[in-house]
Amino acid sequence: MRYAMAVDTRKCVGCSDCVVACQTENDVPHGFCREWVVEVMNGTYPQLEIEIRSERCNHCINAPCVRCCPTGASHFAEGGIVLLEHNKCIGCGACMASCPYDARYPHPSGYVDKCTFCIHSIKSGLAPACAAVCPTKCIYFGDLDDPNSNVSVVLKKRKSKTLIPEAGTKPQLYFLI
Amino acid sequence: MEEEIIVSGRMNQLIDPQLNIWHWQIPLYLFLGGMAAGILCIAALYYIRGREKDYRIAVRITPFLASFLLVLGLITLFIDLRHKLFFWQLYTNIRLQSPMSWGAWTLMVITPVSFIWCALHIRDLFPRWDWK
Repeated sequence: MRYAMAVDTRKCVGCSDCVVACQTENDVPHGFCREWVVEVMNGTYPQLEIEIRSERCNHCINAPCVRCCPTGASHFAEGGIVLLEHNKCIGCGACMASCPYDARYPHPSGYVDKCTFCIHSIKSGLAPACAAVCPTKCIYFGDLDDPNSNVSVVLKKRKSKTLIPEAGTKPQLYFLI
Repeated sequence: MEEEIIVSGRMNQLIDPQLNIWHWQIPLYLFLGGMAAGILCIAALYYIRGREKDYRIAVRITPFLASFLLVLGLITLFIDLRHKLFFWQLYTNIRLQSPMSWGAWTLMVITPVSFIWCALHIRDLFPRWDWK
């Protein structure tokens, strides 16, 4: 079992529906976010290209946040999902400092919070909120170990990239290009 | 040219930029902890080399400072935590890959030992006191 997500940068229109869905589903406090939308402009006028990405925690295989955590609050859950146990977190911020993607934020209650791939939905067979709500259906989620899951199929068919691969974290959030 | 705009979600100074993950407490602790470590290292060095008599202040007197510096440092570390009441979770496991776990366990060992040392050598600090 290896959960992964693929975001189609050719289909994403940057509507931020995923951001709002995530905030609603996970009761993210006002002003914070577990995921966000980035718009990248490349080239010089008039040869410009634009890429829109919906970014979140990359659920890395070699996650620096899990390594840095002094209490074991950050851990790998089923399927390689990087999770955080709130009652173990002391809010020291080591994970936030080590994350190359800045995917974590300090929850006003004290602990650090982040994307969970909506593990509560996955367990009941549903898609994560961002993937479920996307109006252009550009977010694919599934099990990489299963060759027939939609994420495996789309990654085989299309070219993809990951963010900051030089950090060596082996991220599991792919961007189709 | 590459321009990157964060369109939604992260327009928040608490998240971006994350330059303020650690606040003034951590540099202060690093300074105090470093000073305590230096004092203890120098005291140990002269003690091991048998120069105790020549460097009485360094070996006998300044180590009293170390324990107080460590306690001050521990207080600043505690203040910096966001989920303060869960600080004891640091001592429920040893995580070899986490520098912060190493630091927490080192302080756990060094601080009580430095207090015991103070208690054993308090006579040197006030030699004229009537200790009985």
